[in-house]
Amino acid sequence: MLIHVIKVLGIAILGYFVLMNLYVTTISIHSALALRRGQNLQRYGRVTEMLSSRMAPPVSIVIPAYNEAVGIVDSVRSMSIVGYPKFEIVIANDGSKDETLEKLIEAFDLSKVKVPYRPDIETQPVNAIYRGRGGVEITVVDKENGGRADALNAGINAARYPYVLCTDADVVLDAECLIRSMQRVVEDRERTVAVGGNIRPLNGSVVRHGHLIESHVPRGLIARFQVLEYLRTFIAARPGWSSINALPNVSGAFGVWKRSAVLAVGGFTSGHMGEDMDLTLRLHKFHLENEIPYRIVYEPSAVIWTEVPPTRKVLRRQRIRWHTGLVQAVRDFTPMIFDRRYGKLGMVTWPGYVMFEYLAPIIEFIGYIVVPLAVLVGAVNFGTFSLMVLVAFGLGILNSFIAIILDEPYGYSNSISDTSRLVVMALIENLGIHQMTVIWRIRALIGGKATKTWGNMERRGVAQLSES
Amino acid sequence: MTGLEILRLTVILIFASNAVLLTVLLTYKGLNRRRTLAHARRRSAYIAVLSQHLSASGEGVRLGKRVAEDEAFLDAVIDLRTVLVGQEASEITDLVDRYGISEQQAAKLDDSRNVGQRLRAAVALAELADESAAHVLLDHLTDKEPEIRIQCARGLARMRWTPAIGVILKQLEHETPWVRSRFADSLITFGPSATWPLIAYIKSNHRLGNRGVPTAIRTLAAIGDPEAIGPTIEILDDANDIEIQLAAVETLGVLGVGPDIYPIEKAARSEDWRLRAKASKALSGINDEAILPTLAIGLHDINWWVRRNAAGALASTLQGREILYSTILGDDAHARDAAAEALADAGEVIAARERIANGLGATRDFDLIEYVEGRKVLTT
Repeated sequence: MLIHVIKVLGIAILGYFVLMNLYVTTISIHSALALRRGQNLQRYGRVTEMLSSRMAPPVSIVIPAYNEAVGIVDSVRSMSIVGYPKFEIVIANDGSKDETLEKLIEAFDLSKVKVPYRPDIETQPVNAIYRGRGGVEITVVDKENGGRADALNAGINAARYPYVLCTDADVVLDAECLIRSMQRVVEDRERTVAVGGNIRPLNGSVVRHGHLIESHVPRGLIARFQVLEYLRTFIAARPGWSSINALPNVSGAFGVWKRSAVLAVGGFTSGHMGEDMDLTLRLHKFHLENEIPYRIVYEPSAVIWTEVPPTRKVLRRQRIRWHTGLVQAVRDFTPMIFDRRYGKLGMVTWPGYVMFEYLAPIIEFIGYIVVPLAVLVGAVNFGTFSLMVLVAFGLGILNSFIAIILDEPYGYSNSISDTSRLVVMALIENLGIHQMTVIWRIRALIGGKATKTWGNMERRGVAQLSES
Repeated sequence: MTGLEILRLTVILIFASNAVLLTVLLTYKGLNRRRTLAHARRRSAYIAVLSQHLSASGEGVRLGKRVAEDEAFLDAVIDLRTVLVGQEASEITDLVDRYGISEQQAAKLDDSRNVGQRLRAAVALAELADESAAHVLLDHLTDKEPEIRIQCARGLARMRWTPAIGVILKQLEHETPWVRSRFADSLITFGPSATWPLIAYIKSNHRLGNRGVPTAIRTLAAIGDPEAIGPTIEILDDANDIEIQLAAVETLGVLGVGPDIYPIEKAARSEDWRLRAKASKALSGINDEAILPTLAIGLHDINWWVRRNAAGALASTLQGREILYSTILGDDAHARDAAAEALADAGEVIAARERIANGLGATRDFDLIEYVEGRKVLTT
């Protein structure tokens, strides 16, 4: 009887992996179709013409900052020359204990202004507001510590323009990222409530004075593994979800939001570990429940670069935080699963996300124990076991290859050696690295309480980033 | 076929697909890289040859007719056409004629089945701005691909082909907001020659629920032709549609309001807060005592934006600033905040501090400083 149970369980788990990879393959094919037209337009079109457009809506770039003294000035400088006709930069200093505020005041000649601040979204108390006197409009909101979401809300309160680009203080913006994402807004201003951008790992690339000079795939295995993960997410999955208006997450590192829509749902949820996914899902829910036409889109050619954790220790912390955010989101939005009111999000994307993202580490972990056990007790013969493992691994490699091919026309991995590194990573990621993340995600599932909403990435500052 | 055999076959299929994908990836990578590098090299070489030709006043170029088929040559010509002006630009235009580049691209735009190639042709024609291609661009203003329509309008605007203005305007209503806004950019490129066609279009359509009208009105603002002020005031006075009213007030805010301020004052007392806010902004900088009562009412409006804009408009004149100073001593906390912010933005706080420091401070300077230093930043 026990042997029979183990056998059924073992086969079910391997079946789950096959199903999961088939689901991913289907989304990848869908993404490929969605990307085809965009790549043609990107190759031949002239999006930069919009730079001189008088009809482009102005944007507020909101940057939450906590202990960012090392790189905040270079970050703001690099952001201040992003290509766009009209924008302002709003930095929300979330009670930093280092010299973040002082560095900003000194670098941008800021002075304290006594202007009314509208708390459209409730936040921790604001101590003061500073404004710059230079050419670029810079506002700094100095507030009590309340976490990343709280700082973003304060920045959104202080923003003066109808669209807000929420990003991080440690990213490098591509010169055309704002214009490319705002193009999607202008396409349909009435309905577009959010536009997500393409996040790419910066590790291994050459950055000077806050600007990307050359992009490369990093040599370190931990960072390289994440490059592949980001490609699967941002190139092979999100365009597909976006094309059916069922994008479950606009990344916190780069998202353009319609300010009025964000205010309508109460802003980011303070204390949430996955505040970006939470806000995206609440926007979907709000518009679908109130039958308001809307769209949340993803633009793969709007690129920003961010340093991903280069060490196991930092990656572990990040993954526990991310998965805790997903756990919170699943807790809050479970009723949407298979509810027809929520359209394709409720019927396709969100159930898939819960099945193959949220539950994956548990099932995978059980699989690592049960399947070998099934072979050991003779419930499954070794030949069948090997073939099923090969199917699961083979489909995983297939999905990675599709993601690498889809990314090729964007031309970010220029050299053959960069592509070769990614190919090798696709072949070896299932031999230990991926399994590490499974353990960390289980830690988050069983209550590994990540109490800090700010990540603990060791900052080097965007001006100094480059692999040396 | 047994289950095991099916499984074995699946494994073979998956790994065969992986092998195929890997081959595709490496081949694509290699070819793409080689093609890109070769294209860049040829483009640089063409630029060098064409520059030589220009420096030899049109006598230096020695290239066969077939170069016109080379994409790198087209890019080089476009590069130079974009940066050159005057005599050199007309020499490039001669080259475009001599090699039949416009005809070739026009044929591609007409006949190619590949949307990428057609877009490439439309962009090339827009960049070259060669009048011989005007009719082709005009025909493709109704192309099924939106980006091609945008490029055609842009090309026609760059060559100042004024007969296209009417066609672009006719299209405005049926376009998506994205294309509409890009068409508006093209109309702006036409400059003041588009002013009266726009006014005619707006006047004949603003009562018909035409979705292109608000864009057309805002285009007038961007063109900046003062001749549009009078007609825009008439449209504001006549329109019932709130979007049209908003666009008209916004445009007047940019162009100036002219002598007839009544329609704007009326808008400043509208039930719609957006209209009140935009009208208050439009009244900024008008040195006319008649508008002060309207703005003073706006200072106590229920809406923050209206208060802010009314205060900003009051701060733009000396008499208005007097009202703001007296508001600071009033009972309405929201109006006080708006007045203080506007005075701060107008540099009055710094000036008051300096006057006090120099022993020249008046009572109202002390009142202002006491107010801005004595209250919290946070207000609702």
